[in-house]
Amino acid sequence: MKGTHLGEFQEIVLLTIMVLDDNAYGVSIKREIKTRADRNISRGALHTALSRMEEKGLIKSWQGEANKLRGGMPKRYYEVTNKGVNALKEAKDVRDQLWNEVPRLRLQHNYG
Amino acid sequence: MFVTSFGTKCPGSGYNITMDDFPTPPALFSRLFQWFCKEELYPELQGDLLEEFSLNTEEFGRKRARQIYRREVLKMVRPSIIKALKKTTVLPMFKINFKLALRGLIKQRLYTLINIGGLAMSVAVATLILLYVQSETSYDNYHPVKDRLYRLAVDRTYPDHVSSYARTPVSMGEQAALDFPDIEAFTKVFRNNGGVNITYNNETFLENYLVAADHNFFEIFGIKLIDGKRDEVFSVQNAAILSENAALRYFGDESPLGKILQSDLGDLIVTGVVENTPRNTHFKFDVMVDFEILDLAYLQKPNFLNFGVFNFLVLKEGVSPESVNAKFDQIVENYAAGEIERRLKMSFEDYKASGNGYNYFLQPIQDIHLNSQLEGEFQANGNVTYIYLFLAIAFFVIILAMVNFVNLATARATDRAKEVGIRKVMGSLRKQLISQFLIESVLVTISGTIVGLLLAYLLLPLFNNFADTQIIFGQAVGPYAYGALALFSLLLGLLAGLYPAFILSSFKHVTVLKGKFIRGKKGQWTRNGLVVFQFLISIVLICSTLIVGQQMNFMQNKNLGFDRENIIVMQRTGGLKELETFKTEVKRIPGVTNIGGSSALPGSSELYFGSSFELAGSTESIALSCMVVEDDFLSTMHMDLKAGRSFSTDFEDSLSIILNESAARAFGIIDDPIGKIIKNDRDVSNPDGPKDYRVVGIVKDFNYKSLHNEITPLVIFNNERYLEGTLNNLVIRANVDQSSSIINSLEELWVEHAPNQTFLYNFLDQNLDQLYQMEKKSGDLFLAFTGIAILIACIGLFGLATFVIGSRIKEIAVRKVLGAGSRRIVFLLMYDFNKPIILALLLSIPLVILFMSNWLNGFAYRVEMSSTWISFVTAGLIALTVAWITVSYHSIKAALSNPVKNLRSE
Repeated sequence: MKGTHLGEFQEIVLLTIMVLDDNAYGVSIKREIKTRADRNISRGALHTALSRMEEKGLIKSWQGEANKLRGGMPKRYYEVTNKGVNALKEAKDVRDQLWNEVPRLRLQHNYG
Repeated sequence: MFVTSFGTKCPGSGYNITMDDFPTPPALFSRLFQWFCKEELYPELQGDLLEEFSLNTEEFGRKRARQIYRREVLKMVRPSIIKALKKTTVLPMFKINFKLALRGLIKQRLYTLINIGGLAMSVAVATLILLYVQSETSYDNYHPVKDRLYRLAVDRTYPDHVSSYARTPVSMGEQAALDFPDIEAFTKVFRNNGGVNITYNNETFLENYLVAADHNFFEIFGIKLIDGKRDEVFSVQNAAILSENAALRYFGDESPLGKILQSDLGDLIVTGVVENTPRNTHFKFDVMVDFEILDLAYLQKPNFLNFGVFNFLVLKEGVSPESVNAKFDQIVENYAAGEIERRLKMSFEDYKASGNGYNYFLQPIQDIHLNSQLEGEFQANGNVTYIYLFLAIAFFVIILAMVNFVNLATARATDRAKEVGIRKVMGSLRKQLISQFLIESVLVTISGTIVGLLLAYLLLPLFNNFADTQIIFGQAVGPYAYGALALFSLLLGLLAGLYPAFILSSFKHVTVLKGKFIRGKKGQWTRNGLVVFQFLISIVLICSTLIVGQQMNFMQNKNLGFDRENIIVMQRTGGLKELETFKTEVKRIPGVTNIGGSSALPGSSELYFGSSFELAGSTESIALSCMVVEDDFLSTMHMDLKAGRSFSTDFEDSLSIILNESAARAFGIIDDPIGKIIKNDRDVSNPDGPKDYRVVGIVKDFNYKSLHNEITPLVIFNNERYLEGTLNNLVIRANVDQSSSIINSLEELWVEHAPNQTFLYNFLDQNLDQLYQMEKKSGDLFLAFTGIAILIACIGLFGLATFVIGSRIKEIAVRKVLGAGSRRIVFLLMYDFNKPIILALLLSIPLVILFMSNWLNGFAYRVEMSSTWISFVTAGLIALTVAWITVSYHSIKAALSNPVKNLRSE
């Protein structure tokens, strides 16, 4: 937990980057989140999350190729660092534990 | 396209790809984004935006994609993306400029004061005008169905003229609501013109604002009930609903509900109290009674001819009033035609063929106050022309202050040239100088606006008093207004500062520092042009004010065909039981010379009634205004006869009439009128059937309406023909010097003869002046604005004089050395200032003629435009004199200065 607490949105972005593997850059991340989570996020909001996580060392980035569609401007690809993976795992562990503690009955009741 | 232009700025890989085959995102937003985005982030983010944009174009189409793009750009505005302000030089530069501007302003206290003062004055004037306009345009905007609520009005065509009435027949609205599915609801309101006496606890008040209304009145009009239940206010037939004021008047602290009032209409039970009618309503009432209580035949039986009540209609959603207007012809055809035929014994077709007609139309309720000037209005309405006029004045006063600002700033150029020079030498860029000057001017306009607003706030009570409004500052000026004012002062500052900023910053530092400040032929045209413009506005205003004054004077002194001085009028005398005894006793009062009764008075056009007449032997009927008078009325009023005799006790006059000249002309009997027989057709005011009258006299045309209207044909009946009660007015010719004692005696007599009736009197000349209240008030406002405009123009001239004379100081010194006298120099300097003012005067003439002839056209009797030359001459002289006085300060100072001092430099 120390210092690597992930926000919900950050977690989604990190996971998306991992899912996208080699092809994680602004547009693809944005679109993936749209299809998977049905969330419309602005590129600006995405930038804020990405830059903050890069500062913390959870992800790293490098400049990629340009193409015609982009008006000749290069892409920037993102990749999750080990630290990022650890943070994700930690978050998952916490949740799993909590889920396990929830009594079965209570869970079912919630659907009632 | 834009991409290639951006491309050059971003080093990297192949940017020079053309994009002609791709749809482009909104260029403005692209540029905006490039402007605020951090450079290091730009390629990545813009690339992503573009890629997304072209994907979106494929998926959702161009329009949606552009929409998304715009939103995306706007959402990029966040601290992590936009360029940091701190890193640029904008903020510290602004701080320094601010400081410098402030210093400059404090150093030149007089100029700053003049500038801020002038601006504050014009802002105050403009604010007051806008508040006034706002209050005038807010009429009837609070009713629940205001957008669908209309009043029915009618253009009544008579054979010789058209009159429009605000009141319409009692059954019109009801029948329309029954026959047209487009009408959702209707209500009618009747106003008693004479007023009604109401007594409670032996105290009697004359209620001038008593109305009778239908039961659904409160569903249609947004007037709130304070006391009583809405469903029950009309539960009894003699219900009375009082306004707060009226309730207070009768009952004080007592609860009014259920109390009984005695009135001319019988006993009334108070069933409700409503708020006082909001000021911004085109009608007003203090007492409301049930429509059904009125026992007037023409109000209770179906009636499609007498214009008696105000009919209000609510249209269904989406129905246009024009479509309803067209349908009223059917109602006239179906219901009114029969009544006309029965009464006149003539077919409706013939009636129409003789030039009669009814065109009913709907007036949106919110337009009534400013756009409706019909006969029989509830109260005098405003006039939209004056609204435009005042808006124009507000605009020009602001322009004047702006011009001033520019003039003063350029005038100060001499003083500031050195400063500019030094700054340039020290490395100031022109851009920085411009921004300094702009900040200075914005600072002035903002403080001017604040002071102006404060001034407006302080002057508002005075203004309310003057313009007869009740504007409350806090209510009228909301956050929007403050926002608009802030924006306005900023824009004004930039606009006014632009010209001086560019002029001042364009000085060549070398020339300036050498001390050779050139007079600048360049700017001379602009400056003189501005002065001409200012004086043009001032002269137009002075001239218009003078012409308004001329017209007012003309109206006050015009021979109206009777002697308006020394006449006391008593009203509501129709109720006097023994009129003759009363008159005899009045005549005994010392100072009273004559007395006569009449049904109507000059200036009260609503008191005349209309009827139609035919000359014996002719079939053409003519509609005439009618009044009933006593034998002594014409002589008391000093009305002159052109031919024949007046009514007299020596004759049996019940079938005699007197015509005015216009009527005699209309009948074509002006040459030999006496003894001619005129037949009064059977109609509403003459229900007994046709009657023959003999013309016994012709009275010279007198202005029985206001001077806005032409004199129209008039018939005067004698009261022998009519029952008691028609002579509602007594005119008393008396020595006005003794008026107070005379009025005391009159009141004593009145109380004796008509207990429990209110004693009402006034002076005829004052009554007549009331007709021109609107013009008088506007004239006064004009005068005030003119004063301010001249003041502002003078400030500008003062500034210009400083500049011009300052630049000629060496020339003056040389002239003095060569022997020119001080007086000659003063004249020489002042002479130059005549030119722009004379030019302004010449330019103003067509403008004034254009505006004022338009205004004067509103009067049937008016001063001729050709006789207004005196106003032009006076206006020119005033402008010149004021200008000379303004300039003389500098001229004399320059002429008296020591030439040695001025020549020593350089």
